[in-house]
Amino acid sequence: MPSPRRRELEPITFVSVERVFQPQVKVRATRDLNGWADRQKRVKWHIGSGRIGYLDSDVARQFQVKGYVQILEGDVKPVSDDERAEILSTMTVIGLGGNGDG
Amino acid sequence: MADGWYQMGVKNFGLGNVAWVFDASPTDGENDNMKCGLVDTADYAVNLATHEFRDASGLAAGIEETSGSMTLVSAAADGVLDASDVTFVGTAGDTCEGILLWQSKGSAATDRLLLWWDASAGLPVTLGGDVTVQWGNTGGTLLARL
Repeated sequence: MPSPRRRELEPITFVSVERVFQPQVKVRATRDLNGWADRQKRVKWHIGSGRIGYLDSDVARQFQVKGYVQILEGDVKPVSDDERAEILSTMTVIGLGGNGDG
Repeated sequence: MADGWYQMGVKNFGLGNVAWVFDASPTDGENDNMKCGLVDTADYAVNLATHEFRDASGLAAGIEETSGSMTLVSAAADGVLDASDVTFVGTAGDTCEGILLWQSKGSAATDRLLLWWDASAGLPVTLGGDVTVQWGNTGGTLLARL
C-alpha cells in the first residue's frame, strides 16, 4: 500500500472499464462505480451511472447480483444462493440521509 | 464535528464558481465536475470555517478512496442538490470516518471543497469490500440543500 506521502505526491488517473476488463458483457451502470485498476500506480477505473460499458463475464455477474449494473448483452453463469450470499456479504452502505443541509 | 458545508464552498456557489448541473461527460476544470472520497480523519482534521481547497493540510494523505466524476442531477428550483449513489469497489486502506465532496478543477491546489459528512449512519467505515455512499433519499433534502 502506498505511504501517505506517496498518495500526496501522485494524483489518481482514471480509465474506462474497457481498459481494465475483457469486454465480454455489455452493461449499463445503475450508479457511479469506481475501483482500483492498479493501486500501486494510482490508476482507477470508473463508469458513471446510466453509462454503457463492457465487463468480463465474471465481474458482470457479480455486479449484477450486487445491483450495480444491468446486463444488456452477453451471457453470465447463474448464481447459487450460497454464492449470492457470499457476493452480497462484501457490501457496505453509508446512508447520508440528506444531512448536508447547509 | 458535524455534517455540513464548507463556508468557502457556499461562497464559491454564490460567486458562480460552482455549477450543480448534469453533464454527460464532465472533465477536470469544468465547474460542474464533482468528485467525492472516503477520508481517514487520523490524517485530516476538518475545518469547515477555513478550508477551501483540497490541498488543506493532511487531506491528500487522508483521502483513502476517490471517485471519478460524479453523475449529478441538476439542482432543483428550491436549491436541492442530488447525484447518483457512488460505489467504491474493492476498497483498501485505513478506516474512514468522513466523506468529502469537492469540485475537481484538476489539482489539489485548485479543487474546491464543498461538503463534509462524518456523523451519518455507516460511519466510520472499515475498508476491505465494496462501499456505497447513498446520498439522502428524503424528499426535499437529497444530497444537500443550498
